[in-house]
Amino acid sequence: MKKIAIAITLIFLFGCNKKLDLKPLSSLVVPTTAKELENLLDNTAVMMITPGLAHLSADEYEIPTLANFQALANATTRAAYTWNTDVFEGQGQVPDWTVPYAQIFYCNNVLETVDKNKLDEQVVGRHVKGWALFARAYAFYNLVGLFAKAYDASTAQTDLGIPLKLTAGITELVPRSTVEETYQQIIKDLALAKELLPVNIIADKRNRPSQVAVFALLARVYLSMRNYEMAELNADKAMAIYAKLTNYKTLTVSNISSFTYSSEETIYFSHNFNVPYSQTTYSKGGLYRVSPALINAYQATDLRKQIYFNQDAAGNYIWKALNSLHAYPFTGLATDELYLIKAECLARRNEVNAAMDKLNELLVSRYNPDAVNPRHPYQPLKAGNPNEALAIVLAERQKELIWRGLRWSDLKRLNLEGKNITLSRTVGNQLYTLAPNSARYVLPIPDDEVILSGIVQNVR
Amino acid sequence: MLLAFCLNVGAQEKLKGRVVDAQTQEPLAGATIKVLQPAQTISTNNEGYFELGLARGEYQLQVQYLGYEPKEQNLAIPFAGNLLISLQANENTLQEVNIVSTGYQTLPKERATGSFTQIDKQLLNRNVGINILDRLEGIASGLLLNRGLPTQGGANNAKIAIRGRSTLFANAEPLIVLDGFPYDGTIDQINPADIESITILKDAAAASIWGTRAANGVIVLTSKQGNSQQKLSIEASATMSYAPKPDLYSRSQISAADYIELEQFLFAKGYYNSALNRTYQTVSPAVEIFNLRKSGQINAADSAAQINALKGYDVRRALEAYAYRPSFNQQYHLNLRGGNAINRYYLSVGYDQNTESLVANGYKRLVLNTKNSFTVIKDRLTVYANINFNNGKTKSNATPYTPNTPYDRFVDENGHALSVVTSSTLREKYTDTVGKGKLLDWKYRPKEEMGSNTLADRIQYKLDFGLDLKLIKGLNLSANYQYLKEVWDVERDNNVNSFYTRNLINRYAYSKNNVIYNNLPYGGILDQSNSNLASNMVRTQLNFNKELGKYHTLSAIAGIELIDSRNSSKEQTLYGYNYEMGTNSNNLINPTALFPFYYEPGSMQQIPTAPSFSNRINITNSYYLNFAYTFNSKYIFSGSARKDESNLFGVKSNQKGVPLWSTGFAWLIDQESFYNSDWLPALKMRATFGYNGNLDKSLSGDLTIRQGTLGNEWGSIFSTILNPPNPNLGWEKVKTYNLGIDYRFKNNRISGSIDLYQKDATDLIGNSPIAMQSGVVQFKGNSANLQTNGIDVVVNAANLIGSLKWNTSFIYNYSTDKVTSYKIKQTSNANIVNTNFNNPLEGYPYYAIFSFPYAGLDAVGAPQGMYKNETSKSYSAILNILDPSQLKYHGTASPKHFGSLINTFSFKQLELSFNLSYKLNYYFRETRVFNGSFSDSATGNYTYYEQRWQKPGDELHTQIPALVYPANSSMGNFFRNTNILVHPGDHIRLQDIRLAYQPSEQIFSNTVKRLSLFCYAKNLGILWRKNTVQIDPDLGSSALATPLNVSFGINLTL
Repeated sequence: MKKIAIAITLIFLFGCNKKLDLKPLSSLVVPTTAKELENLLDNTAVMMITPGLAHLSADEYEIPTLANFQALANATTRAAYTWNTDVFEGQGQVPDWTVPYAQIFYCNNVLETVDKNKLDEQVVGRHVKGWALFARAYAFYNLVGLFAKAYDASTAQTDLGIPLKLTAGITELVPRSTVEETYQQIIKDLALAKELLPVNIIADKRNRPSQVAVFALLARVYLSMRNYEMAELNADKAMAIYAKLTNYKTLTVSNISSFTYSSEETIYFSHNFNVPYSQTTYSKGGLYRVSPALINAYQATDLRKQIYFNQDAAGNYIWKALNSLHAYPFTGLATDELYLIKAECLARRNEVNAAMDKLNELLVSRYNPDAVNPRHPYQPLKAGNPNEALAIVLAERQKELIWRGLRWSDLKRLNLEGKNITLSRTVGNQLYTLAPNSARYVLPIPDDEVILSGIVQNVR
Repeated sequence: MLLAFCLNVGAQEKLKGRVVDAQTQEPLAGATIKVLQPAQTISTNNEGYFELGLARGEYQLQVQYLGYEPKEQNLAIPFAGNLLISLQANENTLQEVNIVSTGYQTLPKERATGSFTQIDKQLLNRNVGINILDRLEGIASGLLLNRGLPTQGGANNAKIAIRGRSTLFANAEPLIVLDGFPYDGTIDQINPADIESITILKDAAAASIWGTRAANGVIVLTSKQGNSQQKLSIEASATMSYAPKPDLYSRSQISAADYIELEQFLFAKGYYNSALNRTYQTVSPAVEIFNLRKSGQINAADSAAQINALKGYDVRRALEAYAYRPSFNQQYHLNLRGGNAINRYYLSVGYDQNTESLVANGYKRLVLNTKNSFTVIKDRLTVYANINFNNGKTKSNATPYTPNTPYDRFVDENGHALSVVTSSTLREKYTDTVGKGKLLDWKYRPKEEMGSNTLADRIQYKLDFGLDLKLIKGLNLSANYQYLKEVWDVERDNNVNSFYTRNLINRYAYSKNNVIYNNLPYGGILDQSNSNLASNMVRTQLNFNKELGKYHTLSAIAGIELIDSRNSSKEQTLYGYNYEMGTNSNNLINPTALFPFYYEPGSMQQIPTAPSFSNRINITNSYYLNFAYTFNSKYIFSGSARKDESNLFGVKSNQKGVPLWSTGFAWLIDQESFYNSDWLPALKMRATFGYNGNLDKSLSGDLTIRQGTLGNEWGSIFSTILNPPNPNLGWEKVKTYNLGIDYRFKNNRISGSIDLYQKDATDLIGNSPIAMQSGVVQFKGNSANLQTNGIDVVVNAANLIGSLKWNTSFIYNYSTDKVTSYKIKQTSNANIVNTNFNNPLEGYPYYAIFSFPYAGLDAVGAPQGMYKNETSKSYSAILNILDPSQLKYHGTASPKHFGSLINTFSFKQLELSFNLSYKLNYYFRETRVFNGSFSDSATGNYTYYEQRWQKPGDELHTQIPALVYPANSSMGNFFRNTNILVHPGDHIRLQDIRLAYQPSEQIFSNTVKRLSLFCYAKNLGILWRKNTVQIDPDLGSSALATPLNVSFGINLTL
């Protein structure tokens, strides 16, 4: 009897020692394969989102009445609208900061796991590594645009950039880099990504980057650095691979959106993080309107006016969901932006006609070819001199790229070269202004980050 | 001398005897037999037998057993035949049980070095609750049922705390052991009527045998069993409990008039503009009227009349009539037990049925038990097999009605259902006309939705079998196996007439050429979830028990225990459900498509149709050893060691296990020859030290992701990071010291125990905020130490003996904890005040309550605080500074002193007892107080709204801020957490009263052995409280008062 009992015990014991390796929860995985890492980067709830503060702070919209302003539910929305010194009012876990860093965290984990398991020796592994580098650069760029000064070659070596978190270990905190270091890291990551990614866009998975996306992002980054030569070079490289434009006449005008997740012009998909800020970005809530000056710049035969906007009961223009079936505004990379970058760079090097040609190439697809008056069907824009050409391109840039969160960085870079744009808003009887190159163009670092990591706060 | 000694030993005679109940002749297992001179003590075995070796001579024996009058007997050795000692049951003494059970072994309490609390069935049955753990409230020393603890910010509250806290974020519940095995099933499935006794293991020596599951203490349940040589005995009992409807007015609520005035104010400010602009969004009836008036659709007189009508309604009147009813609970239990030399058996059936106060809620439970053991070879091999089946059914309403305004009107004067709006409905004006009659009715009528729509059905099977084999004298081998299966099915049935289903079908409907089409197929919606628990536990154990010569007794156990417990669950929603055919239309829905809302085509959602699965596996291998060595019946040394290995994830094999151990010493002072106290005949001292453990299985040392099953916007499967890599992850350890005294005064008039303990918990898993540049907002890892100190005192006194008896049982517990180290610092005073337990401050308890010092209202009714020692209204600065010295520290939210006083009076057949419980020296925060900002919920923060600052001068006699617009969340956050809203929780409560009547047996025929009737009342109210705001700290400021509950019961023994 004793022997039997001991034998039974031994059998169980032997069986159970193997059992110690069973997973406690079936859905748990310690990722080791490229496919598993790809699944992480495909998590669009984390990876596809860009901050909302750039839109909130810029001048593409306004809050028409004091009542509407007071009815804004989110305190940050109000504070950002009036460019307060304190924007977050002690609110913790500010998504504009936490979301890009969560993306960086995902990317760093992917990069370290690729290296640890030598996954870049195969195609999927290389693509995943390139994707992680691209997505990290994208997140760094979105952060530096909010929390640091615009890139100025003369001060970038000392201006404070953002913490460049390059490791996955969550306890390894880093101080702020300089603006120069931040931009160099972005460019470095993108250069490496370019070597690893597929050449052309992946038409049915536009959340995944390609070499086109790398060049398009580099063009956007260099433009914000006012390195127009490199911006143009990269726009050219991107357009050499993919430059498709959609004739807006072929789109169905809908109350909701004329676009999809796989719209033709999209190179890399991302959208504005807008959950707390929805009352200023989308038709829901209806507390804002598109700036009348901007809406008036669209001509009657401009198809964008009906494709981009709805009108509310009071006749105010409000935003339609764009390039998305979501309510969230599109902030990703698309071919139209490349045409505008190219046109701007041409104008800046005095290629007036070439600049206008590039611009007209884009605009002809935005106008109604069947319109009779006042233009029939579309009359190409012309400029007499480089300054005029630049002014036209910049005006068209604002109209085409509205709601993409690009206006804020445009304001920062243009004021740096003396455009002298002063923003102002009226709330009730109170007038708020934001002077060119004001310290309040740099948003404060959220307080909890400053307390927990001890990094330097911005002076506003 | 040596020779003489040996001779003396050789001259010993064996005394065999048995201890039984005088009335039933049932054997009493674990009764103590004490020889006074020379001192010697022994306990009876499971069949009530004992054996003593005594030299020829005259002796005096003392025999004791819990709940029985002790007996003294003189006898001369040699004694012919078996000595039969029968003890008289004493229903009125609350004494300590003399046998404690650790789940691995039973041992005489006198031989134990550890700290135990025991509860016998009599004490357990004072209370009539259907959950066994609820019955422990106020009767178990060292145990606290946590009530009224803060819940915000993910506080890790346990239902039960044994000796305060031992962890911060890992599992804080004690381990429940049922008949020797950890109980993984649902506690509600245990019928308290089947439980014989409970032992609570409190210190390391008592609990370390349970290793990594013992850190929070262990509650060992022992179920009833038949006895050999007992004739068939039948027990039947029935209990009915009644409680009236709860008082809906016991919780403060803003008046309809005040709420409408507030809405009027907000309307004038334009607060509702955004909702009104969207034609479908809900606005309240009052706002609808203001809007009609504003647009000139009704005149001033009509508007005023309609508003006045609304002010006259109170939704609580209708809720009282239609949502609540008196609660009525019934419990029935029948058991048969008995046995002979070969077989012992216990059979029981229990049925419970609760009709709860919410009309939708009810509970039914059926429990069947059979326990059988057989002696296969006399004195050598016994085997047993137990089968348990139980089924619990819970009815509830998954979509209960929460009024949107205090004046919601959901029935008219004649009791007909009226429609109302809530945050999950659409606007009345919109649903009046939308779809031109082609959509389904889109109105929400709460009266028609009050019934239950959710049924949870839990079935459990438990099989136990095993054997006990005597290998050689003193060495037994036991092998036990348990299989437990629990199946839990929950069905939420939303039939096609329910608002839930009509609303969803309409939401996903679309119109094309004036024809309405449904994306969601017409029919009921059935939410099904099914979870399945299957556990296999096996244990082989060697038991050694031997007296080695006159002076040495060694008892030891060593064993191996293997646990494999697996849980799988599946959830699915079936759309277009056809009840007759059992078919559904899920295959008609494209699960990846986004469907627009009828009323807001820009909003789109997927309709998930695929089932979701989850599987959990819990493997534990344990190796354990426990011994107790007694020298000369005076000194006892004990020790235990255990190693647990578990299928921790992402940890190297050698880190999967942890060794834990304990040691203890007891000194029976009363056995010393120098000790000769008449007034204190029993005195024992205990000292123990050891380690318990705890672990958090959700953590991993490696980067861990959760593999998803759904596709993203482009149809790619995606996954989520669950745990960042943490190579330094380790186990939580709790070091426990215990020092105790057991005492008994002459004639048993006063007895009890005193224990002092300290627990040092180290390497506790902490949930700390971490700088967000890390990519996560919280870091979970070993980051904290916690120290808990306390005292447990038990005093049992027989104040009066004779025909009028008066017994008192007094429990006093003191427990305090302090976070002694915490690696990650706090971020701001606001976090310290709001959720200190999320990131505890060093030097303070886990449940520390802090507040902002309040400096009263200023001349415009704005609340003022202190910032850097000056009066300030910079709320954001007050909240965000990190300087604890600017805060007021009140104390802890968990009582430092608590316990109970049970007095029992008995006269002839009547017995009256009542339990006074007390909780002292702790604090709670009053919630729901109006803080200056409006809230969208009518039942929200509006207490004292009528006392708010309204005109200059009010600041002299009120503390409640003026209403501000727009809402100022910083101001609200500050005011909510000021010191004036923190109140002491100290109170004394009349926990319950019990009156029992037991007619003397003469009046019955021979078949009835015992009959007793009782009446029991609970929720009798608070006798004294320190707070002046009339809040019951056990309930907090947001709960309704629990109504008086009265029970009547009958117990019959045949």
